[in-house]
Amino acid sequence: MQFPFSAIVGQEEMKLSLILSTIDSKIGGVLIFGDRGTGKSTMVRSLAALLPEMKAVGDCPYHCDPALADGCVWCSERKLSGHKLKTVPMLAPVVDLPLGATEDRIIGSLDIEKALSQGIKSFEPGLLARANRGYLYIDEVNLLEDHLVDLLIDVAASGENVVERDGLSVRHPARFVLIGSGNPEEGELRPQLLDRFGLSVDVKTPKEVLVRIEIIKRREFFERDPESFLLQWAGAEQKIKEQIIQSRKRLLKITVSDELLIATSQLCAHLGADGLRGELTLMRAIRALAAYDGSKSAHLGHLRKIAPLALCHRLRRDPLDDTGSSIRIERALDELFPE
Amino acid sequence: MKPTVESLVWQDALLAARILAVDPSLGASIKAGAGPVRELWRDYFLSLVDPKTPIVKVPANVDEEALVGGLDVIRTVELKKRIYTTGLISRAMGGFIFLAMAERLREHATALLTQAFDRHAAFGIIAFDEGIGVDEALSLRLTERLAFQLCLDELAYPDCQASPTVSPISLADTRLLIKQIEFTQEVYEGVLQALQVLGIDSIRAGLFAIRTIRVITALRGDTQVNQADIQTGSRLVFGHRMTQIPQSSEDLESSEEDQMDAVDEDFQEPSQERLEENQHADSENQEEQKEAPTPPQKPSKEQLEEMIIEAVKANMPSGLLNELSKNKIQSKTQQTSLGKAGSLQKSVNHGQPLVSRKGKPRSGQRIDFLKTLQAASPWQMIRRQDSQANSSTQKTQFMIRSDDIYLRRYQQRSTTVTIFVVDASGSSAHERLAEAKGAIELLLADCYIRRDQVAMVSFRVNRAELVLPPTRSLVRAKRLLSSMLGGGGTPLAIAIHEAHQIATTILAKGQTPVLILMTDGRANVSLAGIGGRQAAQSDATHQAQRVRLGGYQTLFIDTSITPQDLGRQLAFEMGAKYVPLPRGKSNQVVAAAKQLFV
Repeated sequence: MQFPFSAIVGQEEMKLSLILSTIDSKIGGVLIFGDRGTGKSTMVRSLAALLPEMKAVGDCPYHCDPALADGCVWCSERKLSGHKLKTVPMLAPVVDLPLGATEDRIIGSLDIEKALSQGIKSFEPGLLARANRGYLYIDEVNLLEDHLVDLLIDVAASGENVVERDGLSVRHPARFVLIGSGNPEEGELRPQLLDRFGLSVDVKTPKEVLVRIEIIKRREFFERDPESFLLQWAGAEQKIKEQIIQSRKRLLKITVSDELLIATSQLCAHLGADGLRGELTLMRAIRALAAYDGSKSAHLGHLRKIAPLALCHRLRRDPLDDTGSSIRIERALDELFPE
Repeated sequence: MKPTVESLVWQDALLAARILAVDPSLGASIKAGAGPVRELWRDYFLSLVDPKTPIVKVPANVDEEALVGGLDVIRTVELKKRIYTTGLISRAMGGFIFLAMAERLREHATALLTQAFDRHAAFGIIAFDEGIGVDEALSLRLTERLAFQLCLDELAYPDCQASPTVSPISLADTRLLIKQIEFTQEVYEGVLQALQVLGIDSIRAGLFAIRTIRVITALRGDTQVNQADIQTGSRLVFGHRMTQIPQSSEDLESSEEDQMDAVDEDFQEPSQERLEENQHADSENQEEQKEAPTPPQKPSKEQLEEMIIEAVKANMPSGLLNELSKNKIQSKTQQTSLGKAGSLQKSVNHGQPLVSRKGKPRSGQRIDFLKTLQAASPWQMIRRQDSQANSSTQKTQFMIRSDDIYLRRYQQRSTTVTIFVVDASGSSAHERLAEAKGAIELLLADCYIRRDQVAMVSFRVNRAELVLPPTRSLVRAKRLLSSMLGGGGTPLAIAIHEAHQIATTILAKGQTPVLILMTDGRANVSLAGIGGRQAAQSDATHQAQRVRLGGYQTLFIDTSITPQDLGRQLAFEMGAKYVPLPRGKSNQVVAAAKQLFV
């Protein structure tokens, strides 16, 4: 049983970035860095309950979207052989990638049972297949072994998992939102992996005593009587879920003025945020935020709010400058667009 | 008779055992070497839990597959269907995991364990910590999730004679009672306020304290929390977590005696009450609780907070108290990166084995035959079919392809640890420290891809101090370096001695130390910490010669305005590369340092 998302006290930035990633999965993943005991993993695991139902091809190991003309190999083989593809509703998957996972388990491997009993060479999908169209969550992402990081970087970029082994050749869609969490004191992330995350959040332990009491009380209530607790929060959960569905509908209609586009470019250039990806992510995040706000068009306020989350992990670090990235971004915002 | 401090520690340890038996997922680390005292505690603990409770021992060198389970290839091949092994973790569900030599547990194993714990919290972790000094300590990720830390190190067998209290009610009844215990807002506020004042950031500690207090109350057979419960619970959970001493409270002068008395009361009170309460316990039941009288005088949250802090402080060893009153202890953070002592080795074929990985063998690498055979076995039927189609290979042959090959892996990359030894004496201290700080941050920013580490020792007046323990985290370095003092004499000999010690430790771990000494070379405090240029200089030379024999790279950065022979001489004695940098710009220091890296 999972602690409900809506019952998490405070941590608004973390909540917002996760919600935005559900509204537009193209924003790219969310990186959550912070102290111990801030509810990072609790929140990510609670996300599953908020994700709207989606349509998928029944029995397809990669749960492809039936609307797609060219799904995976499995789907096209089925079509070719004259079968009709069934459409079933399913919840978007949230897949945990444990640190100890082997390469085989992540990318998939030979189906041992079939190989042994029938001598048939067939592919058994791994975690990447399961995460297709959903979320892949890596707790303690900074402890992930280098070769697994390489693998993920590759797949996250191409949206496709390719397995070539001993005559077994499979490629399948693996489009997922990458969510990572970790404690910065335990090591840094490679810049290449950092770049794969659309938004990044720095979580801190709340300091106000009353807030802390509320956190403890809710946690205790949940631990002692999870059923009643979930019931109590069911309404709030449903509300967020609705909001996400509505925002997704609105997303396509959000208009972005040329001025705002220029402002976004200006900000990125001013900060020297590496790569075009930052700008693109920022733009998508602005749209998603506007949709979540219920606005018809995006405005500078949205940019202000989301820029620190979208850019702060992309700034080149100046080790001699103690100023935090988000402060630098806010300073740049004030300079460029004085209120 | 006044109980000794040791017997109080033992009492606390016994109480913690009883609490754990009731609420396993609180967890504890037991700091003690193997020995009768630890055995005694363990036996007591085992006598409390249901004999059917699973107790799973996890050795420090456990591999990840054993922890979480995996495919049992041998049986799978045999039975031609998937057979999985149960991991140690799933075998411990509803019971306890005993971590032997927990300080040696690898980061990855720790992460797997804590992840499983976070997901289910369906087992208790008892970590036996045999670590000595700050070099070997439990991973912070683990200690964060363990409510108690029991230090049985200092205890001798006779200290542990006190007969443990027998619980008036059964485990099951205690758990039932817990559900009926309600806290007032004051208790919550008191506990959390205390948490803040003691400098404990994590909210988990608060949750642990609340849960512990609940259990303590229930163990008395009661449903009404009293002050002693709160004090005892907070002491158990906060004692080892506090990072600062409350400055606001006026009672810094309160004598040792007072504090001892406070401890006395904590211990006497509950036991007296326990006796009284016991008589009621059996007859009292659920309905009683609603109309239970409110405690005579209800303390305000401020009083509660004060009380908790007193209780926590009273239990502190006096040495630590002194440390704390200086400002903030760093020992808590010092532990992180040093926790995996000995985990990094030099050689490709030696050292701690990691999980084997698929790959093409290059020269010198060893093949993991078992794994390779395991990987090849499911393919046999398929390959046989294929090869029969092609040619006439013998049927019985076991076919291994290069794709099957698994390579043994060891912790092979030798991390470079750059130790900055910075002269913080005299007038230019401030500037020099800033330069060193800059250099450290530059190096860190540059080398986090290579996974190198940086440490810093500063020296002044009559001692050298490890200000920044080896770390690769820029965030941590910044935090630790932010508060450093300068001024005073130049105890160069002490500094070189200290640095040499650190470098030797690093070498012993299989890492490569690089020593960077930033000083003007003008020593005026001897190894014994006494002023005097002559003795100081000869001591420094002597220490420098020892470094020369150390067999690691050193760099001497002369920071004196007009570089003199003094520095050059010392550098020569150390076998160090000599670089005069009167105003060593951080990036110049880094450039010089980089030449030393292989």
